[in-house]
Amino acid sequence: MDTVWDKEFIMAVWNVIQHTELGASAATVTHGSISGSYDHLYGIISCRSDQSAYTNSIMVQFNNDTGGNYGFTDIQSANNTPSAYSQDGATQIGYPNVPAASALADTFGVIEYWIPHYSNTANFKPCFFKAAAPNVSTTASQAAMKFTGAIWESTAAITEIDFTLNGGHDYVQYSTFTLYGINGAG
Amino acid sequence: MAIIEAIKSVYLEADASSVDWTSIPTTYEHLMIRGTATEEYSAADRSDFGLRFNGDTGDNYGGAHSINALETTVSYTNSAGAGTSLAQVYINYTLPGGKFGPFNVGCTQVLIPDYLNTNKNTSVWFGGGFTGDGSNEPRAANSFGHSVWDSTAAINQITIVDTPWSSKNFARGAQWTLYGIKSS
Repeated sequence: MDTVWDKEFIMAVWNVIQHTELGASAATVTHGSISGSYDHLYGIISCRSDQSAYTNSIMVQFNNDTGGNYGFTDIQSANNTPSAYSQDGATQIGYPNVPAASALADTFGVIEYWIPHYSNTANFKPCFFKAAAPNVSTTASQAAMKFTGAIWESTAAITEIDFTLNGGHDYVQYSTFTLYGINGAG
Repeated sequence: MAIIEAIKSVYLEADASSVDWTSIPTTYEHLMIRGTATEEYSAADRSDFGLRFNGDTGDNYGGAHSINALETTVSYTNSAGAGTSLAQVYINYTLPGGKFGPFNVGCTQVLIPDYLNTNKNTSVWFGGGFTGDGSNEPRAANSFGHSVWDSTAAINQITIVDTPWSSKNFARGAQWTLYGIKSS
């Protein structure tokens, strides 16, 4: 039996692919040249938008695909009754939320996402985002959180992820984007 | 070198009102907490708890959570709660109360990204849930939410406080683990 301890070399399960902290505001953050040597991708984002609003949303594209090849559905709560939203034939994945310029100063959002089997060329690429835009407010739409399930309708292996903001706004300085490659058993 | 490491893990040998992690290392990028627990207070059907950073008990936290509580087998109650000027990150409806017995625990995950960055307030995402039994309500619930600590200080201490407004205890057997996640 091929047990893990029989192997001469055991790969790490978690691997840092790229970590970016913005030294200045930027409209796009890219994780590029992603190796196909992992099983899954996992990311943590801590970011804030410069939009003059309480919240904004990140937008996600893979491999520079700007066609209508994305679908997503979410459940969200923004200091109000939870609601749902779906879109198909979209040109990008939206709208995991982040704090914007009107939220409490120095407050950044929390986004965690998974892209399982990102290099499988037999299937489309599902992914899952958990997002929170915290704030000190009880007013509707001045803070938000969202769960988003999405799919990129392509069998291509994901080699690049581009993060922009809805409306073309900028990520502010100190926003961080960490991408991990996760290995399964050898 | 492992990218994700268990910094500290606690197993409660006896009921306790809080868990305190001090001298948190500065060698990670993100922190994650995973816990399974229930409350010892036998009259409670659910438990709430708080997180405090660096010993700050002032009203310097804000947040919100969304709850799904299974009230009957066919209908759900959905509600959203929010708060400002709280004395802790407030997490509700992820742990059962003692009404369901000491073995029926709930689970909670907390993510704290970029915990050392002194240009940022500390933001938190949390989620979790539990399933009770019998005819007591709520028999099951889950809750997801977020919070912000209005401080740009780097986190060096995390205190988990059971039912912060009424001094209850986590029941014996609760387990809490703090993980560090590196970025290089």
